[in-house]
Amino acid sequence: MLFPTITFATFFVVVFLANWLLMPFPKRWRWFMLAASYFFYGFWNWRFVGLIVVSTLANQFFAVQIERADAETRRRGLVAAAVAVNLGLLGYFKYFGFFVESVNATLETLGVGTSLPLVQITLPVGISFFTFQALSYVIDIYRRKLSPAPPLDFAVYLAFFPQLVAGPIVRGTELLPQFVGRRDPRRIDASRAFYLIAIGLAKKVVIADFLASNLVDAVFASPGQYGSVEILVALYAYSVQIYADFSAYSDIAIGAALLLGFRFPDNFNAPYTAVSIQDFWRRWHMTLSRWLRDYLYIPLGGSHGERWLTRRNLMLTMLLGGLWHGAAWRFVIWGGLHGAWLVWERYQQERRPQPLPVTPATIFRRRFVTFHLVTFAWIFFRASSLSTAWDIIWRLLTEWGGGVEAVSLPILLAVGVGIGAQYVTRPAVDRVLAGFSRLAPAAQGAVLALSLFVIDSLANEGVAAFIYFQF
Amino acid sequence: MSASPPRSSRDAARPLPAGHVLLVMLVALLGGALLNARGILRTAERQELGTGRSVALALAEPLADVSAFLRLDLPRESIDDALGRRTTDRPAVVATPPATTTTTLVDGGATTTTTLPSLRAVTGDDPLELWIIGDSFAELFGPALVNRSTDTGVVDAEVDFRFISGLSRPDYFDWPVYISEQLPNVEPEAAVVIFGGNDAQDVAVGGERFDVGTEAWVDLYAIRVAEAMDALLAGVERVYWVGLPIMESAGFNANVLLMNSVYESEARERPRVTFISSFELFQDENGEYNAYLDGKHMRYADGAHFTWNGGYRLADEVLSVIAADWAFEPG
Repeated sequence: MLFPTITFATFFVVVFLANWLLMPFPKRWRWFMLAASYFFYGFWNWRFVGLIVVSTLANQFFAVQIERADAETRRRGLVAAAVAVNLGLLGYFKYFGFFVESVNATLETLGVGTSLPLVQITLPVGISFFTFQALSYVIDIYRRKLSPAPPLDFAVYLAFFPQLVAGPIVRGTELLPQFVGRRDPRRIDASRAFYLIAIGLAKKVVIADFLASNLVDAVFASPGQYGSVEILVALYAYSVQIYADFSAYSDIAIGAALLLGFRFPDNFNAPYTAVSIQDFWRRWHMTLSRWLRDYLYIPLGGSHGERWLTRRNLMLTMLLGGLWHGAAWRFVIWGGLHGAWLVWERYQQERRPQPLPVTPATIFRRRFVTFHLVTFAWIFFRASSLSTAWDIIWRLLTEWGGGVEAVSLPILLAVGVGIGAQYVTRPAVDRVLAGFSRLAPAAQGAVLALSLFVIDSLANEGVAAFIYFQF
Repeated sequence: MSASPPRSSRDAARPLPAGHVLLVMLVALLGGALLNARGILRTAERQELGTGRSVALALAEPLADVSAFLRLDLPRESIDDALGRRTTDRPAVVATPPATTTTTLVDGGATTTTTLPSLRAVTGDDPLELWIIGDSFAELFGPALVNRSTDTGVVDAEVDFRFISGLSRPDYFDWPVYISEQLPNVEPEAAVVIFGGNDAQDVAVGGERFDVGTEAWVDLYAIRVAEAMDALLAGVERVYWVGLPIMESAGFNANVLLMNSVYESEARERPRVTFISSFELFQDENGEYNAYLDGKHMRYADGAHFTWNGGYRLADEVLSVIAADWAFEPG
């Protein structure tokens, strides 16, 4: 079930009503929310529901066993087994084909006449997200930051529909306590929720889908048809598209959860205003960055060892972060580029402990450089193959005499709005929301109806899936 | 939106009670639905025949009536007109097929030989202008053929495909009309066509229902295919009509074979149209569907669409046919 559809709007109104009516009856609320979440997930493919049930049962089993175990060795063994089961599940569905193809290619290169059998495996939508949530749950229990939740609470946590398929990655420590606490039906942060949902819809269907279908898809499919200027604009457009698409899902998820009385962590904070790659990762997919930091980078040793160890840990974290996004070498290269730039920035910081004076010019320069580094790395993220990525880079550098027919004013406008909107300050938005919250219900509804009208009128016909569904 | 210092209480939005929120949502959804009633009705009409479409229409039609009565549809109409989104007034079929028809296939043993005028020589300075059109099956096959064509140095190719489109439902997207409109702009010399991904569906024409797979449906579909071929032949020297590949679903496969036979028979009636079968190209050594061929991933998990590898496999096949006709090296 896609967010920008009438089907979801109808589903959500029903869930909203039942959510608040059932709140005085916690058990019934939990069963209802579990059923609603499984229905939402099963709308793609009902077989996937079985997978999330298996994940729920397995992780709850490990959570309880870890809690019960006294000996550290047993606890460690159990958490290792839980990690292995989760990564095994993820590996089978997401990386099996990649692994077999890579092995076969290697065997072929070595002249070995055998090959592993290839099997078509359907990637269940959202598996990377709920697997990471499950991992954070069992690891937090192992670290004694969390006690095992009642099975029904855990089942609802893992399947909770707003963030189920594309994040934010909400940890058990963040969401499970909210299931226990009593939410106040008289104090819903609805203005922010409506704003997030409306802005998310606009970003997705007006900006992201427009840029994809009018420039980005065509340029990345056949770069040989385009000149350097067109390719450059397409790269900027893809930077805006992926931000608008992915952050839109997070916005709508956070907004929907707010209307149900739950607070999710922020997932994006104006990432293209970042002044360094390190700053970018504090603003882009923040819940994944936190996850990788707490469950991968720090266990590897973080920045507490020798300098080369810190650099190795950074690089490993970003390489694996790249691989999390997709089973292909181009995602590894994307992660590797970010890792290399993070290592370089750290090296520069170590060389210059005293920060340089900050002026508007230096901020502008840093933002400019960071945005272009990030945009360059997106080439590997978006291209269908490494050869296409190289082709794009080559043509970007060598085809300056080519045409500009593919670039239109609406495309430039969409790119400008996509980047410029990140400089709108939060107080400015808050003032608008405060004014909105003081309107009568009918007036608020009318404002939102007009927003829906504008968004739907400007949208491409048909709804494209969110980019991050594939991860 | 960039981060900033904490807000003052004056700027903070007031929390709202659940009843208030529900009211706002209902007003917003109803108001939005009335303002967008034209778009909602269009979406409902374009759905495949069935219960879902009937329910959608039962809701969308009165909504559109109320919207029109209140004149709330005027802003949307203006925007649609400004953006060139027209609603087709063309009936779902141009010519109704006769109640009973017999399809005459050319006897393989007694084929009439038609001599076609020779094609011009294509060069790097004066390349063959190739137009690739179709439904979602052209999404990756089209660019793959463009890329392969570019590599030859003597073919200038362009893709134009539409998701969820086809020939069964001109009320959704009218390909023959679109082709006639685009030919003067694109000026192609040859066209590569792949359709059928969304065509195996029941169709209603003037209150009469044509169930997919029936003889009447096949006759109707043949008319639609013929319309598209004739529209293309009005502007190009050659049409290369690519059949659908083998599918994973047995049910879909039966319809694919039916549609491929229509393409093939309509192509035979037109000397300048060449039918290129892709069915066998995507069978494995046992003649079955397989997502992997020659160790490469060819088809997506939907059991139908091409991956890039699949797109290139078909592109190579199609380009070799085009190259033989236009006398150039396919690369």
